[in-house]
Amino acid sequence: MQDVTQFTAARDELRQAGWHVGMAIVRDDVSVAGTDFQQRRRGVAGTVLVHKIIGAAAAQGMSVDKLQRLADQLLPEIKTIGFSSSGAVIPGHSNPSFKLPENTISYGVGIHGEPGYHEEPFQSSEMLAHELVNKLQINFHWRADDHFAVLVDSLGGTTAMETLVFANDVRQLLSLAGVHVDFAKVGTFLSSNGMHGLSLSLLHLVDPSWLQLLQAPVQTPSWPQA
Amino acid sequence: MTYITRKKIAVAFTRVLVRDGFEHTAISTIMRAAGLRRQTFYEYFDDKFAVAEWIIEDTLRDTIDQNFDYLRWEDILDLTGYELDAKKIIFRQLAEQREINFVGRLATHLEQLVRHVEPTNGGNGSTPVSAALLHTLCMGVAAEWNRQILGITTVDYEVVVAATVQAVQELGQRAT
Repeated sequence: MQDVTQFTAARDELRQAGWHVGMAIVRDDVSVAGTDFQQRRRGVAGTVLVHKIIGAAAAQGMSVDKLQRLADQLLPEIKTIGFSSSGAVIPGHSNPSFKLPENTISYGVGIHGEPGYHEEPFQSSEMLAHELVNKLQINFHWRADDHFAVLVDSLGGTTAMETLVFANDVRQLLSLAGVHVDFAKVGTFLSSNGMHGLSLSLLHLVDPSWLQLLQAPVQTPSWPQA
Repeated sequence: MTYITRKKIAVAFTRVLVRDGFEHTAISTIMRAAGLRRQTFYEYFDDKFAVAEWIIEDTLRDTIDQNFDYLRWEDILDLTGYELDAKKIIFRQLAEQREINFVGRLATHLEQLVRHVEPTNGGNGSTPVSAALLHTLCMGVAAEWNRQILGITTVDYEVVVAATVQAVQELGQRAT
């Protein structure tokens, strides 16, 4: 919540200085915490999709008010869940942010090392994909023929090859679930100091214009064009 | 790719099942629909009954077992009821097959779920519910869900789920 407090203060300061400013709080994390199973709803890798879409719309000259409306429509349609097999290593610290038993996967771990909802031995990439797709299906209640954009994000320590293998498993499972993937991005976008793990974000493409904004060319090394 | 290949065969099976009925669902037709060699079927399943059992187990694992740490038990029951109801056209045909024992399979997963509910498992200092009572309750609940799927009773799945939640709550109160 400290982030929200700080950004709200920044927005208010800018408004007082005469700027026209909008604000969007991304809460795409559908992991749960505690015995009451409350969703944590923090901003994780889905934030990258929000930046891309709002950024492309802004580059096309959309007003701040319209950008705000776009963000408000977009936010409930983005959900993310991930897993980790090791903690992050912060520069200046010799110990990782958390330790897991060997060959163990923790689902729903936060990028700052917040505990996950379930630990189990590693089985295979396809079973990792199965668990994450399953949790997103529960949250989206999707129907066959719904359209989605997919973001597979390495938390830093997982290699490009492992990430691509996982992304392929995700694509196959989504296809078997009968939903369409109109856009997919795979890589390291929102990382956590070398943490081994991946997250899967889905954006339900309720509005076809969102796909055009995702596909709009941009010159930045962190969003390579296919 | 064991899981995904099994799932591909299972999805193709359900498509053929809905069109042709269980009796006339042929392995060759399933595998043509899956875009896989006929011989591949036997690397993953013995026969079509094994596919049917796998579909039931996969659904119950996804909705019940895999959510012990993710959803409240009441929400797990609701999710399972919703999923079975949404695919009633498939599960009705599977539940009709005597060889598959749909009620027994559902009861086993429900038992595992109820064992996680604190007042029934001896948590909070309560007395654990006996295995016999738990088994009997879950068999009864599963039989009621089965009647709903088969269309023997016309009540909505939400009513059956609500009755199940009430039964488990009362079992928990009895344990305390």
